[in-house]
Amino acid sequence: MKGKVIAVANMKGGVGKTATVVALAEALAAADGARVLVIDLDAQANASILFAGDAYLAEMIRDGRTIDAFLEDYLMRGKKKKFDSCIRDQISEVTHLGYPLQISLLASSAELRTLELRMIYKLTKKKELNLEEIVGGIWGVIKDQLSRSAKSFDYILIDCAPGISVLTEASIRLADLVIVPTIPDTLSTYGLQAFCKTVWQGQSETAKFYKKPRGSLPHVLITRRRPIVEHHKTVERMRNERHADDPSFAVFETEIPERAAIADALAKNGTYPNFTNKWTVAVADILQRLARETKEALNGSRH
Amino acid sequence: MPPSVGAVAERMERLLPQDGTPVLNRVLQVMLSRELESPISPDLYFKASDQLSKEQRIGRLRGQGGQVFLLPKSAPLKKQTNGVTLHPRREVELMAPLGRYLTDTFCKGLDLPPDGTSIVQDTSTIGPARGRFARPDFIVVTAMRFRFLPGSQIDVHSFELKAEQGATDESVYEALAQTRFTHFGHLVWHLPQNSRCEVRLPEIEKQCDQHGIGLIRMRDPHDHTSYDIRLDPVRKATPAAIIDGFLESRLSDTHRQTLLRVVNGGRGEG
Repeated sequence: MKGKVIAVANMKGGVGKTATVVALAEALAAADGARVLVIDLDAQANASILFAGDAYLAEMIRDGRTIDAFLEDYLMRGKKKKFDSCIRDQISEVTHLGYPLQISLLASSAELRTLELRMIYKLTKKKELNLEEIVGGIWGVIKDQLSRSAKSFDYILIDCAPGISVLTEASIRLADLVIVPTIPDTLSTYGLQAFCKTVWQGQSETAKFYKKPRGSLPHVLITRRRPIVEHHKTVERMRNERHADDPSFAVFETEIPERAAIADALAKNGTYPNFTNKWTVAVADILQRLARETKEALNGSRH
Repeated sequence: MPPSVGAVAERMERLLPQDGTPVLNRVLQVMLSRELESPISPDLYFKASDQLSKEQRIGRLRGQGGQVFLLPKSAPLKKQTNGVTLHPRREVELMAPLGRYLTDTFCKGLDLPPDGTSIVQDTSTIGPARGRFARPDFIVVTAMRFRFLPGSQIDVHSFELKAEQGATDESVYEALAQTRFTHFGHLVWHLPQNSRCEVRLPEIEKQCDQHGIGLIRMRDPHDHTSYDIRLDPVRKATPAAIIDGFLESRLSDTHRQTLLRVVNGGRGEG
């Protein structure tokens, strides 16, 4: 497969998965002119809207250039469509050092939610497959398509929907690195360990359908960090995980603070900013550190 | 495979706003990359831009890495009307008519007392070489004395002239920035009747109003009755020392002498 695959996932919604995908994709593309593919696997299509804007996304949905249209054709109608035809290149309106960032998008639409349900219904009822076999099948299709792609990317970022769906499970199996954005408060970290253990190590019966995730442990990215006692204590507890006998996750040194600049940056559609202007100098610096740490985690030079 | 120069030029023309609003080269390059789903190198971009410019389909502006705008199709660069050659006028061609308007009409409208004076000076080439927005195209200086009150009063107006395609929000900020040296800032816009750029007028007028900048619409540069003062400027509280230094560095010797004469109780020429 060409390019390193990074899945961004968490059971809980609202922890900053999409913001992490957008920010990291732009930081990686800005850092050394890397080519980045973003695959939106969330039916809310927020990453798609943030990159493409309303007009381009409407055009992509109309032309059947979305992940749900691809899976519908490929798995439900037996049409051997190619991934490449659904990927939209040069989608970012952000520039760095005078050049547009090289970010491509495989968008999603609201149809993805119903497609997943219809797919499970059809494949379990008519083909008598179980859930693990469906996950294995989707994993195989995406893996195969990525490896056959004529386009080459340095990084492939997958924005997963909240929870553990068949698409999220398949993405995690594909990933070289799983990033778990987490707000350091009680509710957001509740079940974090269980999520990492379950998803990462898998159920014993799934092992026959697809191999265990590659690379290192899932990496928790602390998001929306505020200087309050609760966050401080939670971060300390999470960072202590590395001393456990069998740690469930690693934690990025870089933390994303709660900043109005981040919300502002995500709202800057149609303004064609450069990378630093979009995120502000302070946040751009944090994102560059995150990109560096991500590369270290992918290269195995971290932990 | 990268798109051809022709394909980029064709798409460039389609992406540019029909009302002639200028777009930064950097932004247009990104718009083209997104539209054509292919990286557009600066070399390819400027080849396409050169082609359109040569065919007189786009115009260019300086600043922030350059800007381009669509030239009106209905009014090609040269056409004959009643034996007179008309063409979109450049700023430099508008300078002399504006100078005459300021001297003959604008200053008369200020209603100065008989012993007051008004001075019109072209300052477009005078001032610090590296100063940003420090060279108004014209300044008008008025000086007068009062019957009962002591001393004299000097008012300094600055004028920023823009050609038909050249007026943007930034022009208003330019006129505003010049008021750091003057009391009143004006934007003079050559906007002929039924120009396609008229769609920008409400926004420019709103910006001028918000910033206390006067707006003069010049329909026909040679017909002073066609000049329309749409907004009067708001007086700025610029420190006297700054104004003094500005006049010292911008006024010609003759103008300086005239001004000193009025300030010292002599009779002016206006």
